[in-house]
Amino acid sequence: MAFWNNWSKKPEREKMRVIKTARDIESINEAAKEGFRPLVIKLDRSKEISSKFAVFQNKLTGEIIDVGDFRGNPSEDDYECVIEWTSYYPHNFPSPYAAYLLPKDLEKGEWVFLEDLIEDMIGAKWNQGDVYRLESAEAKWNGKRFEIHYDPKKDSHEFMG
Amino acid sequence: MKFNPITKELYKEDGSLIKKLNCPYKVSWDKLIPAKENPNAKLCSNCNHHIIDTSAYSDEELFSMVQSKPDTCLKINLNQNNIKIINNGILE
Repeated sequence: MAFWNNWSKKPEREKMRVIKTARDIESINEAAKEGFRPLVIKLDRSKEISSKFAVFQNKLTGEIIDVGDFRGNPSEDDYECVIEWTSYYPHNFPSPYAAYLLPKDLEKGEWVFLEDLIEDMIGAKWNQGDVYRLESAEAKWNGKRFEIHYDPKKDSHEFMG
Repeated sequence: MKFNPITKELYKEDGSLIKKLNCPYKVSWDKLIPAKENPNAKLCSNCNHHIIDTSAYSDEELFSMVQSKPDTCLKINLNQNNIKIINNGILE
């Protein structure tokens, strides 16, 4: 078998090394001091990823509830809508960049598990229009960057764990 | 029951936490082997756990299941009828 075929063969998930992510300058520099090579990546928000909410206020007490599901609208007798259904990007990361912490011995062609994905990729879709971010993924190191291995069409409305 | 797809937390209607879903494997429900003992569960070959289809159970049944066996795995389909999706503001 050709050498490059050995590179391409994806190992079992439990045999892959886990690559950590640092999301602020202090953690990135701390990791560098510990011997990791931070691969710094600019965060790029996907316009596709969004959640939605509406806010309803109790007419008597003034207390509010927020709702994320069209089926969860409270009774109009008791509540009035004070914020109409609104889409928003539901993440607020501490820094506009982050870094994968590469072990010094990471080899070109090695398959790894990216525990906290920096790139915005679609993890799940809901039939009410919400689109959720992929949290982690398997990837192959090509010597310069990670080639993320993920099929967004697979199980895009199911969660397990 | 209520589910937050961002935090992956599943709650009873009264707000009690049933479980925070956490699976490092991206398994496909359709490709899992049906469990012999339970028509509403499938066997995950990665960790040899049964994964329970939450659409077939009540809040209380799932709560008891997870309380008695905390490593019980659950499957949620965002479009199933017995679940409401909640979003608790901006995260991280």
